[in-house]
Amino acid sequence: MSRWPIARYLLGSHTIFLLLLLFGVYLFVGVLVGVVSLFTEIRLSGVDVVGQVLPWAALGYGASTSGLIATVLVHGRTRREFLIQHPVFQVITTGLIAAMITGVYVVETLAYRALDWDQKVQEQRAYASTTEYATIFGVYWSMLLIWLMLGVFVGNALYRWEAAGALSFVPAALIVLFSGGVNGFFSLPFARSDLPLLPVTAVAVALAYGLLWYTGRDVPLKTRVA
Amino acid sequence: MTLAIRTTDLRVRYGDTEALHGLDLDLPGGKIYGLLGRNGAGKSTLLAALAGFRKPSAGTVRIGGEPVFENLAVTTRICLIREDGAVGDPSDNLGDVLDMARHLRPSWDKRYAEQLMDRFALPRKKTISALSRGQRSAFGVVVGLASRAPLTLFDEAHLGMDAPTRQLFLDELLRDYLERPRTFVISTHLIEEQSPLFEEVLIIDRGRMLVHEELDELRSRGVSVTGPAEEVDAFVAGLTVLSRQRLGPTEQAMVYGALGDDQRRQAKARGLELGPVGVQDLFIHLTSASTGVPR
Repeated sequence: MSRWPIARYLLGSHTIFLLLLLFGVYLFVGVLVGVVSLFTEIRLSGVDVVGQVLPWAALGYGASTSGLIATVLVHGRTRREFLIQHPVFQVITTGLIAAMITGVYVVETLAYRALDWDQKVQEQRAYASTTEYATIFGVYWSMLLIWLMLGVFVGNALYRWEAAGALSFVPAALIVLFSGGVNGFFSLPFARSDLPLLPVTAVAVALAYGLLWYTGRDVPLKTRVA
Repeated sequence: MTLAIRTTDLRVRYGDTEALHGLDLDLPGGKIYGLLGRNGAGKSTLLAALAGFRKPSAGTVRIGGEPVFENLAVTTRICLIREDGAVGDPSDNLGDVLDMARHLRPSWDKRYAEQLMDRFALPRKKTISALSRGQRSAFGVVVGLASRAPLTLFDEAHLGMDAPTRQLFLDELLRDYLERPRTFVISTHLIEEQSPLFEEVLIIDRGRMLVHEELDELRSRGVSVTGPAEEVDAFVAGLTVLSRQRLGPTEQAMVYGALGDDQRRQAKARGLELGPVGVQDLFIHLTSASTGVPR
């Protein structure tokens, strides 16, 4: 039996699945942009537009893993293990996805330059151009990690407290607003700030993790309706 | 490798409702225990507490001498398969769930799991949600047996299975138990069908332990009396009759309570046959007596 079995299992299955899925999405976007270019002038970065959807995808995927804690318990593991190893999986997976997205930006920049297309990004982004690769990597990692962890928190809260678990959306929204004002995803004007990305991400992740720990540390398993 | 179970003043509350009222259990390892009780008696709650699925509100649960809740050294040696057969995400295919179990369960026997999948004719490529109710239960049983956990608990794990599949489950459980002795606790409502498997019987009623006896000892609490109807009626007059069955002129009455030597001689003189009583009849009598709800 290997050490860190939950993280290893997830990295060997879920991470690969998510990377392949996202790769497929960007491939599709590339084809779509190519088709659209036949009819109109391209002015926007297609990769940047997909970025609008990613926070919600991360939140949804996170929430959908709420049953995972029950499954690992059925197979003899503990909540504590899950609450340590799942966040490790989250950090690594979101880092890999952020790296892949950065790579996709590189490819897109080269392609747009070759075709002499404009590659505008969303106004609220923390980067002004698609060549700020370090910033792109940082903000995507920040956003994905925070939204994914909040998704797992919300999913577990709903599993544990059912309807009352919807209250978890309140702290989750506050953390999203706080971090979004810095990393540029779900960035509302009144919440924008010039605080540095790394400390803000660290604080947001710590808060989300604290909430997740509180929710999952002694969560009782429920019997699914047959 | 077997694990003993000990609970002390175990209490579990759901809001204002107390499901277990200070349960004291002391079960040596290496046996098959039958856990019986009416609906809502607290069987599932007890098993959830034993497996660390639920934190007790008060009292202690020790498995193999160690506390169970959030104790990895113990939880990896326990496998509880519940009535919902939930051993993975409904969208996972069976092969993926087996793969996950292999990663997570130290005692997992991959080869045995594959054999059981074939014996229960389960399709590896199908998702859990695509299985019938009986197939889902059978898959739960596969995971439960192949986990080879020193303490394996089945909570109504047979739900939805047809009779041949249930028989296969019981045969397989017994065969594997004899090959690799460990502790099993089987919660069931199929008392007559599954009780031959039990070495000891636990009857829980409204969160309290009503009976904890060896199967034979429990059976000796009652006697079946068979013979001509008039003779049977005359013989059992004044005794506690659990049930009667009549076929033509012949009647069989289940009587609660042991018979003395005089009564046995009298029965013989009347041409009556004495035999063991059904566990289900005893169960109905004992739980009806305690709740005041007749069947």
